[in-house]
Amino acid sequence: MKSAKVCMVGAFGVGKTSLVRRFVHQQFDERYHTTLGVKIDTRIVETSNEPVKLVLWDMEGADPFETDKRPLTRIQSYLKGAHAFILVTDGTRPATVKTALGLYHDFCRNHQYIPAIMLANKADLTAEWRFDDSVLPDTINLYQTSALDGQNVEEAFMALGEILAAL
Amino acid sequence: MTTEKQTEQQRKDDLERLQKLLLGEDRSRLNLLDKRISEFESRAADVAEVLPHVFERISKDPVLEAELEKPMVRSMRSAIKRDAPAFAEFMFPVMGPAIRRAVADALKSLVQRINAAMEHSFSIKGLRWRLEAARSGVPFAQIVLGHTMRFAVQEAFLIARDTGMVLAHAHRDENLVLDEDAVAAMLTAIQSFIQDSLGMSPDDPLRSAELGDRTMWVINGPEAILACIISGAPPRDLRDELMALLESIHARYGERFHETDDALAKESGLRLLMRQCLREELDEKHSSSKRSKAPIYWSLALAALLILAGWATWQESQKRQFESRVIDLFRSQPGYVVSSSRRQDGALLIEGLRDPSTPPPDAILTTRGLPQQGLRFRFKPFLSLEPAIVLQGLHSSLGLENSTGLELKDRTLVVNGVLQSNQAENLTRLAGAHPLINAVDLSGTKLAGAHPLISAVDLSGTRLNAEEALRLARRQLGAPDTVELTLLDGRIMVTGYSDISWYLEQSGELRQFGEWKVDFEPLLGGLRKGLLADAEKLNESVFYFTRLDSLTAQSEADLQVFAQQLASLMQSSDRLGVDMTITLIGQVDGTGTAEQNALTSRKRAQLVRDRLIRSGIDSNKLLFEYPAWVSGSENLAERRVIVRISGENRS
Repeated sequence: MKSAKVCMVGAFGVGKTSLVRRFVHQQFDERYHTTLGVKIDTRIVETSNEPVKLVLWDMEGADPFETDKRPLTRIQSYLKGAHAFILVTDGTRPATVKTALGLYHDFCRNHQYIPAIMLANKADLTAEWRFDDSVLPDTINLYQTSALDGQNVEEAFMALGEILAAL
Repeated sequence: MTTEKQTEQQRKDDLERLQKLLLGEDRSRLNLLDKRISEFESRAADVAEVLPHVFERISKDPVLEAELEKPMVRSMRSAIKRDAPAFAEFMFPVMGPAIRRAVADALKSLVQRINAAMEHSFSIKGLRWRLEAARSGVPFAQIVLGHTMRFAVQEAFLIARDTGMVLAHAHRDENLVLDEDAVAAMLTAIQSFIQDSLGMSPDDPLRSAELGDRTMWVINGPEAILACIISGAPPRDLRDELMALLESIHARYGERFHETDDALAKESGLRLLMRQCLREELDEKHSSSKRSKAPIYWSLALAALLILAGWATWQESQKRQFESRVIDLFRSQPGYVVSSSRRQDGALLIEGLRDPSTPPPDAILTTRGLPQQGLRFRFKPFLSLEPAIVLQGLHSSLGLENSTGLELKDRTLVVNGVLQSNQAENLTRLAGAHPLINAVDLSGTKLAGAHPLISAVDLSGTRLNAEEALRLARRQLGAPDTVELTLLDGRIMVTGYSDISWYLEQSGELRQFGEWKVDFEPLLGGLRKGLLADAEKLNESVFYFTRLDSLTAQSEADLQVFAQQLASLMQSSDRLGVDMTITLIGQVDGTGTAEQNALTSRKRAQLVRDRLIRSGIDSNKLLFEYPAWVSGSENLAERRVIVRISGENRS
């Protein structure tokens, strides 16, 4: 069975942890977030090829464009060796797309190219939706998700599992 | 000369042509090789090209490796000798951390062992170790250290250093609560967190962590780390062993660490190496089965203690019962007097008196089937007057036959059976000589060796001579010195003075010593005479009265003494056969009338009578007499009662 290190990154308050809570039965206390800046869970997804074990590194919120670089520095050491990224954004906050892509591009520039998907979270708040997907590269698939009602969450993770299984 | 030079040149040209014909193109290659070998730079380039391959080959061959090591070590030694300061400067940055780490590890190990020693100080295991220390002479601390150098690697994770993914996992008998990938990733994250937080470089990684009674060691390799969860106190050498294993893993599987599937984890070689990481030194402390037996050991020890205490109590009780039995035995034994008994030096000491004629203590114990162990006796000799002992002693001292019986009846020694003539004589002499024997009855005996026709000998006619009879009588009667025994007319005459009690006691029965009868009449006559003399002393005693019928104080006291003396006299007279008569004469002076005085004289005599009766004098012995009143003057000396006493022997 394949195993893959999957890093969930994004700006503050986009709902990364809520999405993970939807997807996995959590093993570690969420207080690790506030102490370590990361919390790790695992889940095995059944793909069309073979089952893949996702080791999800749920990072604390970080922004490469912020002046306080400490969170960014901290998560950068956690990102080493990642096999895939889940870029989590807030559909009601367009700036979060820039933040997530900034983190992804930084990593690829300094290490290597790895696959990624983007989750535009808070899809339940359609009235406030202001998401512009034109900035997304073709290689990154977008999923409109809602941690509140679980919309598309399972599908997004399954899709990432398919990508990793094909590598 | 010129011809010779031409010939030589011709020969060289020919040789060159011949070589050209034979070697052709090879000649130019040989020239190139010659040039390559002879030039230093080309030679160095060639060696540099093959050197990595040479080292790789040497590293795979232990023999070559050892050969290479020798000159290298020699070179390093000579270099250090030549320029030690430079080498010290080179080593300086390394030495500090290395020393600190070594000291920290040593202290940690020491603290763990001290904790273990304290933990086991009062346990059964601790006691066993103390016994071992006492037996071997090795200090207890060293024994504890030796026993507590135990550990077991419970879990081992091989984790890819950059991804934090688990490459392989081995565990002993316990499973993780959480997913192993999650744990490994979290461990990697924590390590990164610590490095970032403390500003440390990735080359200075986390080495160990304490988790309750578990220790986590992190062995860092270039591509992967080996995280081991260890119980107990691991020795320092373990880290080196684990590092060697991690190096082997790197050497064999390092190229496959980037693989994301679990093919690597299934490699039997890697699994074997991971299993080898689960080093252990078996320690009873970690054995749950042995730990669970501890209460059983305690229970057994307690039960053994109770049994021991019960046995000791029972033993003590038995011992006390035995001692009590022995003491009672000697207390009831004739001829023994037990004065005290106590424990001394672990034995029972019985003290007292013992008649020498009785069997010794050990013989008595043997007869009763009692052991002599634990018993000591301290008896002083004495002569017992217990009849049984006396008879036993006589039997033994006179050498009587076993069939000869002795019996004591009212101070008469009754003998039955066969006697030797000297035995009969000795027995006869006992009469009066022994404090318990007044007479000896030999009527039930017969002399040994007597004529068959003579069945018995009548010894009643045995005669004592006068002196023997007199001596025997004095001893047996216990006559006081004031009494004299004399022989007169075939009788022992008792004369002189004695108290009445002795006379009455001895004269109560007919006494005879040999053929000499004792005659107490002379003594009785003397005693009666003395009695009458005493009566005479009391005769005419006068007791004075006041004007009426009250005694004067002096007379009151005198009458009290008189009454007692008279009572004693009356009692003695009765025992000696003397009839005493007491007359109370009541008198008055000449004042008053005749009637008054008649009444007063009676009252006064009556008063004295009452006092005498109160002292025990028989009222029948008292008579009254009232002289005729004569008128006259007052005279205190005539207000009185006179007591007149007279006596005569009974017929």
